Amino acid sequence: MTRKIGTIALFLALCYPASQSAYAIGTPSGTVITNTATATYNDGATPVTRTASAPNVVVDNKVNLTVTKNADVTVVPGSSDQSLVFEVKNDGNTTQRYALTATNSAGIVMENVRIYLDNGTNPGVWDAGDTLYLDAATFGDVLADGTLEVLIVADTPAAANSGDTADYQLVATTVDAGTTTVTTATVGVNTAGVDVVFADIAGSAAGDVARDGTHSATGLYTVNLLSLILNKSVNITWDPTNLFVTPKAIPGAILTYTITASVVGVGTAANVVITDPIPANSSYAANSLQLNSVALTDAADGDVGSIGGTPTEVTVDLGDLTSASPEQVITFDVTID
Amino acid sequence: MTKKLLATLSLLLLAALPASAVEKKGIELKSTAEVDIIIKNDKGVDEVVRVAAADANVTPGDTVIFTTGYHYQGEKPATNVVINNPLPEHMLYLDGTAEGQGTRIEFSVDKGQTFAAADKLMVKDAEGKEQPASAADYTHIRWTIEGALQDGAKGSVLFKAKVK
Repeated sequence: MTRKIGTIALFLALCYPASQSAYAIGTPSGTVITNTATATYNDGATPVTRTASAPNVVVDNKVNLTVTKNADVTVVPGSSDQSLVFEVKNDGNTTQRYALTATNSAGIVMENVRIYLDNGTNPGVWDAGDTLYLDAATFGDVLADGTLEVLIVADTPAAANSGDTADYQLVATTVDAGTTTVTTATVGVNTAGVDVVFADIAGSAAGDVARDGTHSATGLYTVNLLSLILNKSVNITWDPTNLFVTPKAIPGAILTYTITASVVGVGTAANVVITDPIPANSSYAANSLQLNSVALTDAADGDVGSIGGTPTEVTVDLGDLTSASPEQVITFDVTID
Repeated sequence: MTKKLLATLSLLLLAALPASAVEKKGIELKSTAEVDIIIKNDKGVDEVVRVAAADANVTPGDTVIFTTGYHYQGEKPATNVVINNPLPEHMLYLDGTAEGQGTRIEFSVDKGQTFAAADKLMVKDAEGKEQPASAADYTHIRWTIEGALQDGAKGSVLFKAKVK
């Protein structure tokens, strides 16, 4: 029996730090704090023990939340499903839900504005797996210290102009766990049970003051008629041992870099010049530069491509591009030193 | 009849009187939990008021003041008077807040097995090396009253702790 108690005590001692770290955000609401003092003394020869306990203290619900904007987005007119990226964090000591709204506070009005819970498959990008927000129940309960990854998703009006912007506020309001009832602060005299105390700071939305159980942040859509979209990839083409069969990136191997350039939006991107430095520990393979499968000379001469500079750079002048231009494909080879 | 009744009554009184005169309560303890809150007074100026924790909101990060009052009633002086207070669960002792007039204040980092002054307490770090203990390591606070308590002596000890 004594041994068993010893084991239990050890187990508890081992558990103690773990249970503490589980409450990173604070002692959960409803926790009862008790304090007992013991006095011992000698009354003549007799030892006496007396104890006294303070009235219990019940930890109240500290409602606190933070909305953070993680990414703005640049859009072209007529583009659909464009995402502003937010995080809603429960900084309180109690499980809550959140009612969310997306409101236009400045600039142009976007179309088909919705709120989604990002499933993380494509972080920060709307995809079919994301959950459309209907009400506070849609995204469910959020534990203390928990977060919701939220997207404001909207379509850009086709009539938008370059330089237009749209400010959208994600406003999160605290809701009681398991319900769609907005949480209210306990007014007046403290009760013996769990009271609700709002502890949030003021947010960006109009009227979002401190200690109102609501927090907000602004995301920004910027309309840019033209966007140059660049992609770069690399393939191992050859190595001195395996030759062309499953070549590996060993010294002497040849790597082929591919850069694609295209323009989306309305208008003309004038004088598009692509430059790309040759990576360290590799050397440009002479006469390997091509544009759209047509060889370019390495010298700065009549054609649009050249190799030069220190460190060595590939330069290709693509001239004027529009969304109607075919995708431009630049390839060149390097040798691993 | 009357004589007999009187005799019985006086006997009862005699039996009762010495008993009630000798009956001393010893040390009476009273423990409270309070918080300091800021209110606006009549002049609109912020004023700190100490109220019972049960009458105020208490949430993580708030400071609670735990006070234990003592009152001694006894024929002989009370000696070796020690008040021992385990730190409540979920609370973090605030360094330097333990008070008690005429007492020696010591802390324990081993659940009350040993006590020492704050500057003499050591704890072992992850590598087993001895390090000076910090307030977060304390498990108990002990006040040892210097000298004996005479009949009617009163006093109080207190400490402050923060809700984790």
